[in-house]
Amino acid sequence: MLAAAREYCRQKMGNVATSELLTEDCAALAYFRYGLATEIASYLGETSELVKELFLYPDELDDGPSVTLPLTLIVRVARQTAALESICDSLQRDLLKEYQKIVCPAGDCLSVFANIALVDDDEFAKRTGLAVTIGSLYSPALLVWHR
Amino acid sequence: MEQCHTETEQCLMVQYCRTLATAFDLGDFLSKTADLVLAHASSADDVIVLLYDDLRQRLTPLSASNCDERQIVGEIPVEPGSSPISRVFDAGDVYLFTDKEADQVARELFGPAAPWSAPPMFLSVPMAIQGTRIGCVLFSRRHPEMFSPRDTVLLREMVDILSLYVYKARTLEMGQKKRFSELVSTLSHELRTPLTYIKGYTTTMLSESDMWSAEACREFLEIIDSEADMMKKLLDDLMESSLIESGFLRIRKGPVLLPRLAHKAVEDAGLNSTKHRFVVVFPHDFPVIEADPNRIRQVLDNLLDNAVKYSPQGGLVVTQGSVEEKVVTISVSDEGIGVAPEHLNRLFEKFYRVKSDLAGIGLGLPVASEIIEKHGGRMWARSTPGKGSTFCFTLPITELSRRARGVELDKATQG
Repeated sequence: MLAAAREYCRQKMGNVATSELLTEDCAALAYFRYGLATEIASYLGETSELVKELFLYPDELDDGPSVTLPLTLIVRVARQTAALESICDSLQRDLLKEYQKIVCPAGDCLSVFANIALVDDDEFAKRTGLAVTIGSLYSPALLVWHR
Repeated sequence: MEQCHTETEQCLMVQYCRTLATAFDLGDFLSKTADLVLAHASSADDVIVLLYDDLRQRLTPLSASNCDERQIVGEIPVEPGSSPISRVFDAGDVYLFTDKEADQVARELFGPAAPWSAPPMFLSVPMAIQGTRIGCVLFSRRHPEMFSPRDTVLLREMVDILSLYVYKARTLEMGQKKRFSELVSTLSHELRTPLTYIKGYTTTMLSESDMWSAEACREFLEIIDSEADMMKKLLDDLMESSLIESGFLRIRKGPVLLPRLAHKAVEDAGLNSTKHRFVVVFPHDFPVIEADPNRIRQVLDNLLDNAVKYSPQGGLVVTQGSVEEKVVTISVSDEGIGVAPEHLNRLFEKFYRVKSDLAGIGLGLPVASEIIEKHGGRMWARSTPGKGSTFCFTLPITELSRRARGVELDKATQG
């Protein structure tokens, strides 16, 4: 997934290498994160029919680029299940491990990278938790994928 | 306590409490109690324990020391005014029988063939739990020295402790009888159901053998085969449980590639269900584990089988593994009906079933848990009703795993 995200970034930026990410170029980071979100969305969408939409939480890159800024994804599902939580847990774990090899191969500079939050129809209707960012006027989550 | 005990009495009570802690059953405890009391110089020469059967309203002898309880002439009816023992039991107080009354008690207990040449005195101490009478203990003394108030207090305290132990032992026994009865009923039902199918289809094929096409015959035979497998699994589970109880469950450890084992288990589980989608997620650097592959496969099969059984609408079943510093954790998650919190803690109890209308006698999880514990791991579950369940177990990362991992890393560096 990370390789596909880097490829997407390269297509958009024109031959961007890992070094561009590591210098914390805002545009490169944004493309990389969006590319990764679409990869994760495709995977989850194919794996479970309960997944309806995936949103990228509006992270603040205005204060400056940061390779260590966590990626927050909001997955709208028909209902939350133990199996979906398990898939998301393993994705988060594996992405962290792989991303650390890119940004800090010498040591553990990150404790969290991808936050994948599940939001069900009930939370969406009541606009509780992260569901409030979906459709928000002020800081709307970015729709990345839908079924 | 109403008065301070002497040092001897304190020693006796300490010994008595130790006896309670070390006795392995009620009979052993009663025997040791009697020995202690009889050894204590100022206590008694005989100890007879009578338990009250409230259904039949009788006092039945439970144990007797220094005299054979078989000599006690059966049960003593508890009826108003019927006998000294009955009268005192009804009153619920400590009572000392002497002289003629003691003689009456001796005859009531042993009939005309009382084992003493001269009637002893009897001190009757009631056994009660929270105001409910459960029996009485008769202490007899043959020498003329009366039971002193100190003796009475001491013996009463001992009988209070004895009452608690007897009450617990009886409650446990009743619980065991009830569980055994339920088990027999469940087993009978679980075995009868597949047997009915087997018998039915076999009889049909034999009696109307010309009517059925080859296809129909094959279908019937497949059903018979499947039901026979179910019976075999039930009996295998029972046998496993019995092996565990008796400590004969053998674990033969060797290097195991868990991801491969899990993939195979999932593949086989997928053959039995078209409604479910199976996903296996293991990190590529998952270590080699030292375990019994057949037993771990048995655990995985059980967890996958439960995931399918408890998600009848279908959905995702995820088997994943993760690596921590000293252990690996494997989990199986589903999208099924889930388990209510009040059942969660009891899932690993033998013969406990959350839903009795589903097949199985409630041995799969306890056996799986025992297998994992024998490997040095642990098993647990988490669940939310309506959202599905996740069953997890850990296995230790051993020296073998670390050495194997070292070899892999070396190869990767050289490659």
